[in-house]
Amino acid sequence: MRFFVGITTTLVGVLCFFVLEGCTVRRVAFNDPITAQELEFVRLDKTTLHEVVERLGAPEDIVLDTDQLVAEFQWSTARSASLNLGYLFRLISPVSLPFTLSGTGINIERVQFVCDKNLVVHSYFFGRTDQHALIEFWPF
Amino acid sequence: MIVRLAGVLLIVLALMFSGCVISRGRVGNPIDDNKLRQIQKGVTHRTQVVELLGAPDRINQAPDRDIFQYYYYDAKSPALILLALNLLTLNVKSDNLYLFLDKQGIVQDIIYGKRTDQVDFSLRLWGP
Repeated sequence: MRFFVGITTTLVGVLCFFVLEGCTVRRVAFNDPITAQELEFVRLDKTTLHEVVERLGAPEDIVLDTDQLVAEFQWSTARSASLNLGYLFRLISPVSLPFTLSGTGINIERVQFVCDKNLVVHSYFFGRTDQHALIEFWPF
Repeated sequence: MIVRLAGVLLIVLALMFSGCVISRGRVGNPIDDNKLRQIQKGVTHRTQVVELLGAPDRINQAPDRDIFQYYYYDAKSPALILLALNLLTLNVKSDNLYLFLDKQGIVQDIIYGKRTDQVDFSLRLWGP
């Protein structure tokens, strides 16, 4: 009995090793996230865009209108994971054909500040929060 | 004795760094702080701006003013290619400079933020 338990454990270990051998996890992060707590210092109709930039860095985009502008701060996280089950063929074949399951998720988030011509902030709002960037291998 | 110690050290270092991949990428040119200091509100003309910083990466136009935008992205990417698992991260941060120009082409305001000095080689797969 002990012999069979040992054999099974070894086989499972070898299988896990070959499965993990084809495993890749990637993460791409663009800028640091901005939280609502970080914006507590903003006083509408008083705080200027300069003060916001001092704390958060410069916006990624500024859209101009005749009497106002919108400054947009962006940050994102992307995660991608893949599992190449083809490595299992190495157990029985000298050639391993790729059979990869892969998932990718990208969260792009933003906060926008609406300012007047003098760069005084009149309002700000967060974009919808995404929840895609989880580590998952199953693409279906 | 020293040769043996050096050999052991070499083997330890080789084991520590085997499977390590470090790469870096940049987009645009870094914004030169010294040149930026030469730009003065209400004085500097757009031709002087272009002489100092080069052509803007983007021009945003409104009826009464223009914005010159300059950007620079820095990316650092560490990776660990192990026998059983590959881990890779890419950390990207941006610098942005906006120069507000009136219709006469004089700089009226400057918005500048630098983040690329904080970009690091951390291999952090989790977190926000």
